[in-house]
Amino acid sequence: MERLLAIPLFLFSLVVIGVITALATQVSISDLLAAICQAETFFALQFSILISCGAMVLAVSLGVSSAYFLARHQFTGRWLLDTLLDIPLVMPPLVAGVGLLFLLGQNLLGQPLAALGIRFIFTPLGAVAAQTFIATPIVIRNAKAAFESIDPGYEEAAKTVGLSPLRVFLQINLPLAGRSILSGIILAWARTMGEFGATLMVAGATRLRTETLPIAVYLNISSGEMGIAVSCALTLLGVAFSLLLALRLIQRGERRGLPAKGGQFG
Amino acid sequence: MNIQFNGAKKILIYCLILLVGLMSLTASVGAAAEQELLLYCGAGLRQPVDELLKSFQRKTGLKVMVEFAGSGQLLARYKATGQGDVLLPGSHFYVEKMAQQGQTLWTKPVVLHVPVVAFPKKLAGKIKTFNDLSQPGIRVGLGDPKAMALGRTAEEILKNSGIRMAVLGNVVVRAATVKQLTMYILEGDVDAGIIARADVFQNKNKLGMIEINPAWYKPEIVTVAVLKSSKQPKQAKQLAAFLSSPEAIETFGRYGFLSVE
Repeated sequence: MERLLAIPLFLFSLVVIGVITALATQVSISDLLAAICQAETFFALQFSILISCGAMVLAVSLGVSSAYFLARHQFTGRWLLDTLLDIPLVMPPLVAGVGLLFLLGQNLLGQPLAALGIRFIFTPLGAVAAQTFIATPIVIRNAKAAFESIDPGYEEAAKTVGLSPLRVFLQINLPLAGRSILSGIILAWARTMGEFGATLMVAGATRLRTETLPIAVYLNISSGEMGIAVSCALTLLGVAFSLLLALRLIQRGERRGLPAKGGQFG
Repeated sequence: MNIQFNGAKKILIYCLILLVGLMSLTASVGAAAEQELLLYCGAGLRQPVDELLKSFQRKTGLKVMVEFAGSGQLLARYKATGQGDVLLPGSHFYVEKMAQQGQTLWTKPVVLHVPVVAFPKKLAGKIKTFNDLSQPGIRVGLGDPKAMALGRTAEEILKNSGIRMAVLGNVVVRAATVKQLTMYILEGDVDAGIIARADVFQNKNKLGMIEINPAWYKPEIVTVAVLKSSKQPKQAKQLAAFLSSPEAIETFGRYGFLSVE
């Protein structure tokens, strides 16, 4: 009877394959190659990877430590803070982008930051900031669930043999939660690679300067150049798929070593 | 209440939920097939068009569904779906493109979509003439020349102004839509940008404008077209004629568009 559950799985997988095939059949192989070799596509690809990596470094450093604190400490208003951190998850990215634009723009933080030599608006740094804002809550959700699912016994034992809290975190909790944290990172990374609205608002859509692959797709759809748009989209899908696959493989390798369990949100 | 589900029942319930989902999907497809006109409309024309459609629906009883988006995107959507009755983009360029491909049944110019140099009023001292765009330190925002109708016009203006290179040196950002660019100017993230007169009208309190020498550009003509794909060409023509009627031109005028004459 349980095998019946395979039917929805099969149907949905078919839709995903259908969408990718429908996109792929829009362009010929030669058009695809020509579009990929274009300076603009190549720039967008490089830029997307660079920006998403930058955002992930920030999101992981901010997210994992925040999650650890949240999972290990009880304080007044914790539930409120917890809910607050979910807000970016439900925010349409375009709204997040407009919000960041207001916050980091000339009217609020723009001028004091510029005095320090930091410029977010219309710069690659802005794209990193926008994507970090989107990615961090996903990392926090997963890491927090992972830390909470660890048996406190391990930690107690480590403390009794005299490990400092920092070493407990680095040597016990982090490795135990590793797999679930990695799941969060995979989800967050996938989101940043495809992120469009927030990046567009904060960094602008300047070709060959702040042009990520999703922005390249949008600009080329807008100018009616479907061939280039679809080629950029397929490049994005190809790169994202390889990245996700690589991370899954690492995760599988780790799974053999550790029996940790934890929830996933994203 | 104490209900226990065994495996088979659970699956049954699951299948039911799936069925309801599929049914709602087909229902929504059915609703769209109802006699409704589909209008593709340039995003920059939203306010006057919203007002006009209310009046049209009141007068004729015909229902109109509108898709607002950048003109290029509208064309892409039309090409992908092959559906729609009337097209009203921010520029005649797109209508001409469609006409060349034999995709239009009837077209008529409506109003002029005129570019101006806009600046935030609180920075009024910085920009007094068009040539100030080339002053050192001025941050200029422009539209992407391929994705945005006004981006292309801005390019033409710069070429004919004789100060193209100096202005381009001041460009700090390109926007994908005119509303995005307008927002940057409103926020003061750029000192000036080339946007539509209508966008300045929409933000009269916050934006100032400098007219641009009309000899430097061909104004965009907002043009309406009845699409070949229309399954109800008579009603589509009725809508297109209404959108180019004197009443419509008067309404567009209140939102900063200039009449074609």
